[in-house]
Amino acid sequence: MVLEWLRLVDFRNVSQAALRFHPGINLLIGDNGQGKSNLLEAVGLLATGRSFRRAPPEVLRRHGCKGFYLQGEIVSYELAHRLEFQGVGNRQTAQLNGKSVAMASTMDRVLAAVLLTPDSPDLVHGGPGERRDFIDWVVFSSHRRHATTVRDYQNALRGRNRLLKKNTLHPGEMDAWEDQLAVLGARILVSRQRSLRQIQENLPSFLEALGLDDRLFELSYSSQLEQDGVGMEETGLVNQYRTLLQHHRGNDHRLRTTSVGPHRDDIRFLFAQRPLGRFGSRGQKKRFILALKFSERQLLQAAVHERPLLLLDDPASELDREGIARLLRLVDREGQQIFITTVKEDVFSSTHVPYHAFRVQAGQFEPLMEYAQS
Amino acid sequence: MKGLPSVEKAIFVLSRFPGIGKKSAQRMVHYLLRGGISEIQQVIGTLEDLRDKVGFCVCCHNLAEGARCWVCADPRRLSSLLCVLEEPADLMAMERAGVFRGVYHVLGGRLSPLNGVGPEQLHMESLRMRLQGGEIEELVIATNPTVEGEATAHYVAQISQPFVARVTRLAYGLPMGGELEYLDESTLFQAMEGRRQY
Repeated sequence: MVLEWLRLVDFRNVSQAALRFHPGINLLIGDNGQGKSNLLEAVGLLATGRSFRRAPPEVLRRHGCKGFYLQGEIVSYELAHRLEFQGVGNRQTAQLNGKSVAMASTMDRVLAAVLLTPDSPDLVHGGPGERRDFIDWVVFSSHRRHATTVRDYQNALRGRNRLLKKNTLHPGEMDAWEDQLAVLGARILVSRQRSLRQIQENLPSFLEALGLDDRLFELSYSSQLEQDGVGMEETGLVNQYRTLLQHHRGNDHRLRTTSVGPHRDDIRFLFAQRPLGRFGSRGQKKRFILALKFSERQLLQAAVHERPLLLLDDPASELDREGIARLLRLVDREGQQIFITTVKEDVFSSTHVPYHAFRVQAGQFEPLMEYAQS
Repeated sequence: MKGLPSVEKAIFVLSRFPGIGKKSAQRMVHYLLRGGISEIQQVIGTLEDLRDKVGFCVCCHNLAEGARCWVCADPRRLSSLLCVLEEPADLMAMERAGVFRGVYHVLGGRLSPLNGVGPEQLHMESLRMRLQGGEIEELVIATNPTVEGEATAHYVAQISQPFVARVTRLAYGLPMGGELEYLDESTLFQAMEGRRQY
């Protein structure tokens, strides 16, 4: 998948721009607040149908404008496509080759991307919710049904929580909602663990490529079930959840919230068998997250049958020269289109990996000469 | 429509109907006004009949003109076969299809704690009483395949288990005449899960 052209109108701090990108590495260079990440956000929006900054449409349009417009010319599956995105008021619409399409369904049809943003360290440092979102997104990218399951689960969860706020519980009614939670919860657990297993399989090669000792790093799913439900039939998991929910009913009633289920699960990142968040260095964590993103990209690639774009927002902020060199060699080896933002060009120019650079200044983009290999 | 408060009010009331927006309501009002007194009188009469004659069946809570609905009053229906539904509209759909020979029990909604609907707000107690009679041999649960519908189904199954030998649930899966390529993932998944020996 290659994004050849991107046109932006009234998007964030960009009034008008048209950029031609290179199928390899595109480096966006500029000081803080000039619009580098905005460009990355625009590419991400086209690819995923959502802003990685979780920004609503009214924030995406340029200050004082009615709406924004994005247009991408894409080559994927050996065909040229035109993907357009408009945000007017708080509505967003998308057109693929001139025909209206649902926002969510544009995703992965012709363009797909994996993002590495400055928020990504939250994967390690943030709460379990960040990691659940991550794994749910990975599951969703290859199994669309997961979104429905998660939504239904959330509905059932809100239902049970509402009942727990009452002074007396109706046992039959509680059973009915707990049964829904158990069935849907088990389905979520099975999907998450399947995706996590796939990540576990391809993670070591990326850890190694990024200069980490893959034997020292582990990730595992952590749930409230026996042995985290690994290797169990789905019906067995349903029964376990049902029993646990029933068992915790009294306690949950006191706390007025549901304490059992995949909405309380976590993914453990371990370094030398200890929590990575506390025992890893900043550089190690950053590289670990990068490796994780490469694994995610690998899974997405298997689902869409082409190489998705990789969007890296300021990876140099936490990586040393050696890390940057390894990163560039890895993406160069993988051979895909990649967008990187950076404040300083020199860390990239010293790596001897060819790239195309753009200077970003106050919402204006200027292509720079291609860096010539020495 | 300044200066026409009655017209304004009629549009306002009509636009409360499901599927009717302001534009459609305007068209309806103009149609009535063009039709004159007889047209309006006919609508009034129809609405008055609705108000005065239509109520709920004492037995199954279906809509009924009279104490019992036309299904419950029909002696040819199998009283040992009972189908539980959410709304009278679901019953009508079932009757239109003409596939069910038994009798119904309409719950009047589905469990939904977020909207304050618990078992007490539904016709669960009268269902239990009917089942206690011991005449029902099979109970078919036909609530909608949504989370709330499923929770309701589970609740119904629970209260009927002591009294009924056979509790069944409508099948999930492929719609007839549908094409596989247009089905969403969840439906296909259910269809695959619920596959049967050919």
